[in-house]
Amino acid sequence: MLRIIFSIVFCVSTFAQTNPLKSDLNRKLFADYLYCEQDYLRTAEEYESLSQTFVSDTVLYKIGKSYSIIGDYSKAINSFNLIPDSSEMFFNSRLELAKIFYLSNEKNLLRNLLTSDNFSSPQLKKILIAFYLKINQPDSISNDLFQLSDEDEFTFKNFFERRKNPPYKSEVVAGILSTVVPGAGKIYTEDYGDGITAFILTGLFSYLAYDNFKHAHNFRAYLFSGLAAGFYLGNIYGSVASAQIFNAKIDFNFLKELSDYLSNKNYFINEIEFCK
Amino acid sequence: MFQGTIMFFDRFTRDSNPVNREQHYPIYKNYRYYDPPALYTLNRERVHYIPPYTVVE
Repeated sequence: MLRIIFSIVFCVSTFAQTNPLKSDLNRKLFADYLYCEQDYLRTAEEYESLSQTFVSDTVLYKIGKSYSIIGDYSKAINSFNLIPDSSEMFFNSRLELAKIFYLSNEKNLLRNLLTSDNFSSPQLKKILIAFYLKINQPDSISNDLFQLSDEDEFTFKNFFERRKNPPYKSEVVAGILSTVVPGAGKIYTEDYGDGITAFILTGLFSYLAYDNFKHAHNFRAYLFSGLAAGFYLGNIYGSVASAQIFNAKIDFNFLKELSDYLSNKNYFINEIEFCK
Repeated sequence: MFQGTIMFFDRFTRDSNPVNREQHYPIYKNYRYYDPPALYTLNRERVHYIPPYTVVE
């Protein structure tokens, strides 16, 4: 009798400590829900807490995708690399890896991804072309890589031309122009207001210096001469700096356009719809 | 010292320009223009372009 009572007490206390809400099945359902709610950090944590029998390729892909979205690339790479090449998720996982390598500037890993396992899809080629354009190595893009045969080929060739021959302004030309005519270098670099201001200030102080020398006001004449010389040299210096900033702006706009293009194309990844 | 002096004159010239300044510079939260001297050291590595109208922290 005592044994039976102990057994009942033991079973009841053990059962009471088992929370059915935290079963693997429920955790997976909860993680699926979190994924669709775009709560990616908790999604990854819930999926990772599942026992091994519940970890499918889809779960691995979703873990990788979640970490990729929140920017934890090392965990995302680990997860995507666990997906076997026989899986339906394999192709997308390679593209996700390519996206991560592109964003984290991993040139060698991206190139290895393209060449490994004889696996070279047009999507991966496009990411590699975009990467060479991003790091300003357009000469590394071979003609073979450009054989895309779709509408993206034209766009990438356009990007390539712009990277190869960017519409930079020469710092030397800007400096020389400002030496000849104050402010001309800044007008050349499309800083029109600054160019006209430099011309007016240099001209004004030069005139004041000239006029004071003419009337033998030597102190004021030297003072205005000094100021005119300062504005003159400052305008040459500023024109060179302005050309550098103009060129940095060209690079910035190029990278932004490239980045926007890839984002609009979703890095050539066909998203799998998990949340219907 | 010499570079600093001509940087001052260049800065003064740009500050004297009354037109289209908002189209050139990013801004601080307090609506003042952000134009750090690092952009004007003639060192390309230090030129980090920030587009106009961007609010800088």
